[in-house]
Amino acid sequence: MSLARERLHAALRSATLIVGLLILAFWVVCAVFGSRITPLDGYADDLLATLSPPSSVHWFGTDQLGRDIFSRVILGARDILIVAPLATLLGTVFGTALGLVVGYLRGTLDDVVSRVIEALQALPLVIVALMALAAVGTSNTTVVLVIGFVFTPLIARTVRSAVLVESDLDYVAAARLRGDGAASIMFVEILPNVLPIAVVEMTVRLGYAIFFVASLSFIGFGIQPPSADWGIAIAENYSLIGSYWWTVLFDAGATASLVIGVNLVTDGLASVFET
Amino acid sequence: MSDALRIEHLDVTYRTGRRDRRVLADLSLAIRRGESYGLVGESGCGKSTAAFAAIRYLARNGRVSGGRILVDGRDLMSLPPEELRRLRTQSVSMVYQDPGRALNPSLKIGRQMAEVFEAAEGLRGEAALRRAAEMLSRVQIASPARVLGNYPHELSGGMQQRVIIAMALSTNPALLILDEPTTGLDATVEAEVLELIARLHEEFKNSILFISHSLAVVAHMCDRVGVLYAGELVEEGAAADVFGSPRHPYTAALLRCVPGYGRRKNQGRLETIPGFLPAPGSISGRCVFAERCAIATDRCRREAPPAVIVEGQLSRCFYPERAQELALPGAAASVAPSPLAAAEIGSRSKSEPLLSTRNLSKTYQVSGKPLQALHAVTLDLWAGETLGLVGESGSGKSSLAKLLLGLSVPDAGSEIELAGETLPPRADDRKPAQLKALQIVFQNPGSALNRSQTVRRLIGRSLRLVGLYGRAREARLRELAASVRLTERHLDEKPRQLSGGLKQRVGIARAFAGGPRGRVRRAHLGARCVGSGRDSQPAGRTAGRPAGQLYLHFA
Repeated sequence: MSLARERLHAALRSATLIVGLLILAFWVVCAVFGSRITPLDGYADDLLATLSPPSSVHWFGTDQLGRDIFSRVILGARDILIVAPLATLLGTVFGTALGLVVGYLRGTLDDVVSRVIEALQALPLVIVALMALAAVGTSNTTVVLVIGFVFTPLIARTVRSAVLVESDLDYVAAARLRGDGAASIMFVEILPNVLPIAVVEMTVRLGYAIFFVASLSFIGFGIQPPSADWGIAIAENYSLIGSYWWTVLFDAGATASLVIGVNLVTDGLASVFET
Repeated sequence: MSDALRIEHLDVTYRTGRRDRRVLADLSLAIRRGESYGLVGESGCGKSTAAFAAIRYLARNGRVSGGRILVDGRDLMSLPPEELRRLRTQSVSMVYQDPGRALNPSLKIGRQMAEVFEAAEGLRGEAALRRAAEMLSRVQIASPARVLGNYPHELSGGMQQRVIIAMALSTNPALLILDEPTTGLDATVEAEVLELIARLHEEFKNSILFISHSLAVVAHMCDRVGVLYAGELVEEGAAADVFGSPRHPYTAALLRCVPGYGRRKNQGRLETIPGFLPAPGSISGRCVFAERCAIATDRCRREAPPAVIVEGQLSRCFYPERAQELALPGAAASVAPSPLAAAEIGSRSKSEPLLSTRNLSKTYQVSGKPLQALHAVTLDLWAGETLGLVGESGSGKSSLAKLLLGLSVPDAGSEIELAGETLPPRADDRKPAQLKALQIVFQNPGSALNRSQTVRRLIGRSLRLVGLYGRAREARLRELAASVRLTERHLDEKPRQLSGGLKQRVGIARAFAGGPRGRVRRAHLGARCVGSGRDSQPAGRTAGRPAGQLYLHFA
């Protein structure tokens, strides 16, 4: 049986992976259909019904402007599910390329890049991202770029160590002996063998990216209003948590469930790739 | 008294995907107390499965689907877990193929050995360590105290295997299972370890189940021998009888695969067994060996031969008396190495050497200190020659191979010439024609083939070197594949679907793809089994024949 089919069988047997995918699928459906599946208009103010507790009309209650929180939680999935995956993908592509190059070529380049990566890792990532966003201005695009660049060294480091192992295998020597150039060896010979590691690393990073974007939104440097984003909602309402818990709890729960879903998928994928 | 191990009509199946595959079929054998029993066969025939079944330690997808296993008279299949655990710690021990993997790399030897005594004898601390030191001196380790303080990586392979053997023997088990205990070791170390095992066998009087692909080792070590083929025991008997007068065609064929000393490459090719080892469990209702058997008849293809006893030897063949016809006449003849033929020497003086080295040296820097791996090697090699380089591991064979190929850079003052032209030291600086001229067949076929590519791609990429594209490339590819006896089906498979021997053939086909003039071959036939180990050699020779090449053979 082919490896791909064997892995598919393993994937179908993995409860972790299935549960994670179901959670993820739920939020993707919310993100894709947004206002078409919300029971009420999540953007409409209702100043006569501000801060009303959960009820049969407003399942998750309403916020300070009387907007329906249940609808806003569904709407809030969209921006974060665009920004976080794109940022992760960007970081993975750049990180994998960088890891391949420094891991295969080694030498001075590797030394320099590795030290820079270590130096970057010593800084708190949120602060780095914050400074970068303060400098270039905040928008969904800049958030994607900044998180992508912050993730690049992290993924590069993981890929680099996998490449170091691969470079010592004889098939790389065989490729050199038939005159293949460095680029061909890196991207044609080695890349397919480190790709599973890069993919698992990417899903790990996706979990972090969701949290990262939510954090940035919370402090006002991430996704911008009028988006129904969860991080913004939490920022707007956290001072009310003592009396009006529903204004914060459901958005926080949504963020948490998305991160958990992604992490379950990560664990599931890692075990599938191990088989 | 009961046998140390008795296996009765054992069936073992593995579940892969959704299908069950029967890897051992109706296996029966008995090992008496104090006896050493050898189980031989090609890789993939079920030897290791039999060993793991004997301690009821199969992989998760494997299960015993029929038959009984009795250790010391106790039925393993009906033992409660606690008893089974006690039996495993006290009555049976196992020594695995790769000593490096059997030891925990992050624990000192002392800690690992003490653990055995703590579990088995309830000793603590100093007392356990003292017993460990005692055991180490019994396996002829000169300074037990020092070894106890070492980590596994600080010991050589031979030393590691001694430690494992010491651990295995420390509970004085009734049954010792040795699963290819010397496969990963150098020839000289192998001899020492085998001698040690034989001596300890005398001393401890354990029963031994010795699993090996090496007929010579088994013949030397064992009282009785069982030959396993595709999950079936095809022959069994006293070692001298089985090897002296085989009663099964497979055994006879195996014996013909063993090269004799002194037979030269041009004195006939090594015998190989045609065809492939069938997947275990894929054949039923007929003889498992019929497809590859020279004396098979229609009857063999219609019904499965029962086990019969002929003069004390068990054979699963309809024609046990005819097997001997197949044994090579005069296999042991021509023992003295024949002198280099005069013609070969004559041709030397006339021409330039194809490959020569002058003062080839290599010094590595190991934690700041220089370590000379190779010192002023000067060689001349002519076209058509095969030069064998022999040496223990660490003697510099690999360094020499790497230098010749340009995979590592020699010290200043070294020189490599190919057909009178000085070669740049780095492969990346060599011209395509120079690269093409020197190719290698790697020692470890698992690492030599890119696991994400199909065989077609693996060989095809090397054909670009000679500028072949499109239909011409496909035709040359088929030709190469056929010359190393790879079938059409194999071309679309990936390395993990191939056995060790098949992988090595792909490596050989690849090395010959550019039609090289010099070929470096780091052979380590011991890493594979007899059947396939041998046939990669004539395959390489077939592929190489037309070009008038030079071989460097590292062993």
